[in-house]
Amino acid sequence: MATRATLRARVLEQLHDSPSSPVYWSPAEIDQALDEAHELLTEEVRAHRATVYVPKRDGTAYYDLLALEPNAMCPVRIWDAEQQRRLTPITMRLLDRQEARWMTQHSSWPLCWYPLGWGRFGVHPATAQGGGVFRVDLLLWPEPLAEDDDEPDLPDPDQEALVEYATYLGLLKQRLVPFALERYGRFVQGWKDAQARADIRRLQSRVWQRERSGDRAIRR
Amino acid sequence: MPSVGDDLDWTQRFLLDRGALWPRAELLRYYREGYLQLLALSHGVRRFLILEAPPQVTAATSRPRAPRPDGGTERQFTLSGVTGSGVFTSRWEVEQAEGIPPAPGLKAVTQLHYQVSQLETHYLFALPRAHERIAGIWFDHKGLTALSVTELDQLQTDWWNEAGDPVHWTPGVGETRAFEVYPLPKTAQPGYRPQGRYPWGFARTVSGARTYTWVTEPAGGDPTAPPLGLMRRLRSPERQYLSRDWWFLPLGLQRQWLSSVGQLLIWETVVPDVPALEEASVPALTPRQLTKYLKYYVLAQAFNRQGEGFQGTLAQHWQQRWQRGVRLLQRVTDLTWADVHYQRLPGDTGRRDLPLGRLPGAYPRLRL
Repeated sequence: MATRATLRARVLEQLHDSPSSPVYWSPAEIDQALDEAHELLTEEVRAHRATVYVPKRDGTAYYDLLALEPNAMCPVRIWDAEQQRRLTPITMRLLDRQEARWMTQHSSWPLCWYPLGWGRFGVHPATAQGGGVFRVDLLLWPEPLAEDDDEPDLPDPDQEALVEYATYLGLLKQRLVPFALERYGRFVQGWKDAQARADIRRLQSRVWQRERSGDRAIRR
Repeated sequence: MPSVGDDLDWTQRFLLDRGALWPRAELLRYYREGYLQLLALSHGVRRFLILEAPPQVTAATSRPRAPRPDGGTERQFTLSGVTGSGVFTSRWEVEQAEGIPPAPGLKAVTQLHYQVSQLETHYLFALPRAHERIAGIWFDHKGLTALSVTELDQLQTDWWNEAGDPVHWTPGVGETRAFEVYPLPKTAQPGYRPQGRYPWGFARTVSGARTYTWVTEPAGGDPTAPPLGLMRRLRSPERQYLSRDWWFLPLGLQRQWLSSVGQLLIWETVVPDVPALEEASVPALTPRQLTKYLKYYVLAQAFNRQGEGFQGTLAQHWQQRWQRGVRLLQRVTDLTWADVHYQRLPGDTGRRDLPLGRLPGAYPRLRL
């Protein structure tokens, strides 16, 4: 597992600068590039997740995630712990079609949730009686690496992509555009590999079925 | 969190310029443009807006040739004559100017909704400067469906004059950032009104049909003591109170209280409002992590500017990276895409016939 210091040293080597006393790039610049790469990779792969518990308050329909998790990107799953039920995602337009005055309805058993923009969501019906929590699974952006011994929260194979991106930025600054774009291409390939690794976890949720090809009658 | 100035420093390092080719003011202009475009294209920031229907406004009508002596607000319903000879406030003035015997005009009123069913002009609801587009409108919590003016004209009535509970909304015949509803609400149902001899300052007590109880903090304070300080939070077991611009902390004074009961509730997309970003500003309407796309926008615009410093390849490259940020904010806003129901792998649904066996061409013919 690489730390920020080792990643920075690798980037400076790629840029033909001294890892111990860089001349053309400051350590802060390289660190910023690594953080930016980490964010970009997280945005594309969407594998960085966390769970927050949002307390249910009576009379409340709209909940703010940013107060609980400042790096929240968006919720992907909302689970009502009391009902032991996953809330169905829906939009306000669909709710308008289903019920005339859905905004005024309250219930102890919310059924669905709808987006209100980044960092906020609403539940329907609104919570009539407080108590209990929603368990919200979120996609997150990563925290910036603060210390040299911090490690990026990525699988080991994906960390190479961070080096590629920081090198790409360094080459762009040198106006070595073809080489920079080549590095960027490698970074893009890296995030596709990372997506594949993350998708494997999604595939595990699928229900497999027998192949149907062996059941059909032979037709002349 | 990096400020606008920090981001511009970063872009200047990539432009290899300290203001000779691309002045700092130009880069700042690009940054502001990018901020506006990011929010406008992605519809990333939305808020609730309540408009009173019908509104109670301060009305002071005047014509240019008779200005108000105390210099108050002037409002004109401008109608142009056929010959374009001037602007008019009432229909009879147009008729008079064109030499047509004028029909009896309307008497002056202070609130337009007193004249519903006799309006000479369309009744427009104006939206604030930060408005970008409407995502939904409800009246008294009932959703209004959108219709075009053409569809409403099929009624073959003065539909803009009809009174009743609104059912539809339309962009109308007015300017942008305005809309109309059909039918028009005639009875005012004000939510909250400042009371008292001097109804300004900040609210000290709230009264009405509901019961309001003061709770001082820290908890355990005397509820019967006079309410000092500022009201910071309202909480009810039956409804929720929100500040309109939720991306700012609710500091300062609450100047206006509105209720969605019996009023128009608009779900709108907004863009940054004045004042514009400065070097020390921090963009508040986007997630901190998305400000990097604003830097890409600045680079794309800078490299795309014709003249010295133009680099088409780099301009295109940064433009593509910026567009990725717009799409990301679109996806983050439309949250329901991420919560999908998994499905079984699709089986082999196509029906295929097994190929028939073919005998060699030289095979003797079969006699059956």
